[in-house]
Order: sequence, then structure tokens, then C-alpha cells
Amino acid sequence: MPKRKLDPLPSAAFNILLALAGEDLHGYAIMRQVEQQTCGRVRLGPGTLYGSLRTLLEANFIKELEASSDSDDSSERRRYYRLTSAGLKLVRSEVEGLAQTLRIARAKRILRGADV
Amino acid sequence: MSEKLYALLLKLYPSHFRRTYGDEALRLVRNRARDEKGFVSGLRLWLDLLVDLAISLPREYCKAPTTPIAAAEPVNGDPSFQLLAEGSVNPSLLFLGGLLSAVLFWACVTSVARSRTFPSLFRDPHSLQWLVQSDLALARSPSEDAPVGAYSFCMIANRDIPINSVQPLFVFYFAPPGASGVALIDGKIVKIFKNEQHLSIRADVFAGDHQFAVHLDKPAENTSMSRNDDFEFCPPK
Repeated sequence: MPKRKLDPLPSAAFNILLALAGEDLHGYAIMRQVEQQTCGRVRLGPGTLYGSLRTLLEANFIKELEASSDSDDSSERRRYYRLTSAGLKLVRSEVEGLAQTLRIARAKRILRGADV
Repeated sequence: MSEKLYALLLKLYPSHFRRTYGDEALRLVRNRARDEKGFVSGLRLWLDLLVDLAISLPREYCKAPTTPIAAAEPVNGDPSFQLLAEGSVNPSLLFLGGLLSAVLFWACVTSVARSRTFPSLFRDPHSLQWLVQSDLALARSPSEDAPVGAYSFCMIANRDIPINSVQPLFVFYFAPPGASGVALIDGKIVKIFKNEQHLSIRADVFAGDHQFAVHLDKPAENTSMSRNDDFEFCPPK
């Protein structure tokens, strides 16, 4: 069986895919979304963010949309990124894997607290 | 300010990254600097940027696309090249290149060492030892112009001995008309003497091993030698 691209999926790439699962975002918005969904633990720097975006683009997990004017600064045109079906499949698979891990952790009573 | 500094750092990235994402990266920094004001936030921003730089920079160079090319059909009579593939350099080729470089470097060093340029340094270990142990002013090849009558031995000081110690470190007795030359401790000159029959050597010496040497300008008959009680000869190796 051929090795899947981005296997294992790097944390930055996973967080980017997860951020794009809801909506199309530009680079800065992706960074903010990742920061929010990780409770501030992950703040992607430009090198990591755009390096990961390029890798995901090359692997066809995301696609770049036509550059469009930003609402708060019409002089700047930003690139937006959208999750592809392959990307959605990949992030779903990763999340399912994490969910399975979480179930095991719960069964072993490793986690405490109402939110888990 | 942050943006300008980051623009400089961005130059460290490979050109393909800068071409594709340079503007976006700068805009991201600009937006973060705009949204995260204050000393702590600014500090955190720069910490993030520097960590990101350290992590992503090597990765980008590893991923840098290479463009292997091959000769193609001439276009209008001019030589042309054709792009075959894009991808990173094969690691085995990198290893082979490194190995060849190491072999070449070793060959160069060996050939220089064996050349006639530095014969006294590399062919004769005694010459090298001479240079190390003596001051450069005295570094004459023993085979060419060695001082006659050199005494050299290793001694162990059992404690620190100051220069004003009651007992001198050594006393050499020479037959008339005496001896002239230099005395060295660990390669440093401690005394220059001329026509001395009763040569007394004093110096500050720390506890431990020391190499003593006395070089005479011309032969002299050494009748006896005494040493400080806190000295012992090094055990033979």
C-alpha cells in the first residue's frame, strides 16, 4: 500500500485543515483561527503557516481561491484557501483517530473534569 | 518597525518562498503587530517569529525545488535545456558528494604535509616539539644550529613555589670559565646567563608537572646540580 502524503500529518497542517473546515480563510485568518481552536497554545508563524499551506496545496488537500479584496483594506488582495474533498477526508480521518484515542483515555479514566 | 525587521529576516528564506509567500508573510506580521500592541505582546510576537524562523527556515531549504536539466533539441540553432523534474536532491547523492569532498580534503592536506614546503615541521617531530617548547626567538632547528649542551627534563612540583622561596628551583655548577645560555620552564625563558659558574634559577612555579630546559651557547662542564626539596623527577613513561 503506497504511503499516504503527509503521513503522519504534522500538527500545523492538521490545525490548518481543521481551521479551513468551516470556511474559506486567508493566511492571517487561518493563524487566528488556529490560535482560537487551540486555546492560544498554537500561534503559527509565517514560515510555518505558508510552508504548510504550500505542502497542503501540492498534496491537493486545499486549494487556493482567486485573490479577492479584503473587506477592511481594499488596497490589499489576499489569497483565500479552501478545503478540498481530499482534505476534508483527511482531517475527518485524523479527528476520528483522535476521538478513538480520547475514548480509550476516558475508559482508562486518565482524564478528569466535566468537559471531557 | 516589526515589519521592516521581518522583511530583512525574510531574505534568509529561499527565493521561491519569498516569491510566492513573501508579501503574505509580511502582511501577516503587519497585521499581528497592528493587533498585538504593548510591550509583552510585542515581545511574544518576536519570540514567535524567531522560533518560527528557526523551525521553518531549514525546512524550506530542504523542500527547495531543484531543477535538474538536460540538453534538449537546439532552438533556432541555440543550445537549450529542458526541465526534467522537480524535487529535492537525492539524499544518497548528497552523502556521496560529502564523502568525495572529505576524501579530496584529506588528499589535499596530506599532499601539503608531505610537500617540501614545511619539511622541518611535518617530517621531523623533534623540530615541531622544539617549536612548541621554546620561544620563537630560540626556535632553531636542532639539526641545523642547535645549542650545544642542552639539558631538558621533567619535574614535578609538590606545591606552589614562589620566586622568593628560600631555596632556588635549581642550582647548576659549571667548571671555569662557566656557562652562557638560557634557562626555560615550560618553554618560557626564566633566565639568561653569561659565564656563570654558579647558576641559580628562581621562578614562580605552580604545583604539578613542568618541563625544564637549559640551553648553553657552547659546551661547558657541568660539575653538579642541586634542586629544591619540593621537586621530584617525573617517573619514566
